[in-house]
Amino acid sequence: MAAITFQDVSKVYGTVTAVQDLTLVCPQGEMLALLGPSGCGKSSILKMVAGVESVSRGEIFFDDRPVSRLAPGARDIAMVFEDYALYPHLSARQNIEFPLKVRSVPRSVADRRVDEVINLLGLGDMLGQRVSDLSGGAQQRISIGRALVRDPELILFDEPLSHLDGDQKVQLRSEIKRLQQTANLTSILVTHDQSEAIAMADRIAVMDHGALQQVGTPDDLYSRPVNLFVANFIGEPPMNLIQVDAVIEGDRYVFKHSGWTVQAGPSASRLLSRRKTGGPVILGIRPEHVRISRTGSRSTSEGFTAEVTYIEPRGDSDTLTLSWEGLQSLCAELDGPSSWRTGDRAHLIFSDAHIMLFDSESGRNLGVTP
Amino acid sequence: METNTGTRVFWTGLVVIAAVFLLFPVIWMMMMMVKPTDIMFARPTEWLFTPTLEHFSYVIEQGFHEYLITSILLGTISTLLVVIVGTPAAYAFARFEMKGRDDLFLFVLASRMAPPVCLVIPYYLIFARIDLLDTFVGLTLAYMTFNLSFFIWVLRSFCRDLPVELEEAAMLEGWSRFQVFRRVILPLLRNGIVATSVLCFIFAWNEFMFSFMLGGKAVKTLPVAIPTLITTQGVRWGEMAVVGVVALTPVLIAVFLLQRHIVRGLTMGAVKG
Repeated sequence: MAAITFQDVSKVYGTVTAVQDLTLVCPQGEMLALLGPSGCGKSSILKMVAGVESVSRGEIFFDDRPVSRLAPGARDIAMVFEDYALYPHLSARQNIEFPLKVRSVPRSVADRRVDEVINLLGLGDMLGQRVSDLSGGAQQRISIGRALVRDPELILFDEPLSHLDGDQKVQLRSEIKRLQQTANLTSILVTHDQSEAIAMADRIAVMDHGALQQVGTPDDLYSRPVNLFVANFIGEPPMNLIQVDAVIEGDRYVFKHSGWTVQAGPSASRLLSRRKTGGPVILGIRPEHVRISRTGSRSTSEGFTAEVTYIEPRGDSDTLTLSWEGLQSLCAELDGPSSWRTGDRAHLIFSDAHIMLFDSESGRNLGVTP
Repeated sequence: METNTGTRVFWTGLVVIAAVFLLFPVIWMMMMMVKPTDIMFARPTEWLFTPTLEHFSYVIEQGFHEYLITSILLGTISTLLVVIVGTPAAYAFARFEMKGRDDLFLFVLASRMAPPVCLVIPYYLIFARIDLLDTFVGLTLAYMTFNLSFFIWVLRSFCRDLPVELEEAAMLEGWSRFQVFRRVILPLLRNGIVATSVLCFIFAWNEFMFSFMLGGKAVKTLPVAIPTLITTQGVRWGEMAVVGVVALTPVLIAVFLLQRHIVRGLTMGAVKG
């Protein structure tokens, strides 16, 4: 297993730049997720690592060995594909032993290795079957077996769970994580699903329009997003983003919005006073950090009043949509099942510790120093 | 599904009627094959008669068995060559990005766009120049042109239906493009290749215009030989029936043997898993 380093890697298709100057390190034994909406360049990165697409500019290193000119087969990489890519003309076992057969590994060694992988993944009862008769989850486990069987330098997972049903997804997700940790695999996971990335990866690289936005642990991305894109992309339901005017009234900052004025707490005020330019900011607050109460149906300087217009019960939690002035609204998440009903009046408070402020032009998080 | 006897009888009956409708000409032809000439068109039709082999002996006297061999060889060899050249071509058209690929691909069909008679004249003039008229090689080449375009066109869609990840997976294991083609793509294309090449064989087998114009007297195929049975002494119906049945046989045998592949191949594009 090796560490992977991307150094100013770009991929250009004709006039379209799919990946722009990517510099990123995936240390040995770590699982790095590339997360982003479709078309953000994450699959192009994976294909460049695999060698099935060429690198337009820059270099990819395995440890300190440059690989971008090597043929795919010379890089010692295994890949797990979105739609499994099992060979339909081979049985389950033949699929797993395929990589060893290609390398003409001696029969006895190959058999032992295949058996190890079969035990590791618990594939014993499906070996003789045609792969097309197996469920999606079973097919993907065979494909993981095929990737593991020859101890590659790096395993690439390309949206490995996106074609699976709910429970198979959760099961395989923890299985991949367990394998990755016990075998200490260096791996790259490409996904558009943040819950997959958060559940499986040690660190996540968020991509948008071919550019890397932020790399960090799931906690980094959740608590300290560097910009609006990351703030909005990570978290379910997404962060509330409200454009407000931050102005000084008396000796304190207040946030002014159509319909309400709310005092800024000490940490928000510190951020605002450090800011060099004035004008509007974007206030970000996660739904789970919006506190609502029935007491005090009148607005106070700490919060304001809104009406519950929609409730989405989720069992363990309820997601409330709260509106004021007709069109304006935000989301709040409460422990469920709650006693709120649509039409109720609620008093909202944004807790100071959880407020994030973003520059309305650059989208940069004022609380995170780049 | 629940089916009552009434509807089952109805559908079975419908299938039987369709089958009789399709098979009747063939059965009629098989009767003519062994019917003595004097009662060939007797009215009312004589259903019971002593079979005769007179038509067979005439056909063999006239050397029709040689035409049969020519037809078989020409059909088989031209189809084999089409498969050998066409499969990599179809794969390349499906997978490789190249300038003007789609225009070129459309142009592949050019030889199919005009009626064969339009192509035969230039072929005749060219073949006359390079001494390929009345030769087996020349006719094979001519057959390849129209079958190759058909084969490439159809097989490309089979190639496109194969997921590209299969190839990427094999290339990650260290196989070259050629190894991937030979050991991953070819086995998966088998049904498609069989179904398409049987159609190519049938086209070659039934072809008349090229064979008639370019083969001359030296290379005569069955479709060209059949009209010679329309003689100055009248049409030799019994002999025609013999040749017709013999011409039908190889195709039927091929279709029966390869049935499994053909059905799967022809439905492969239609039913996606």
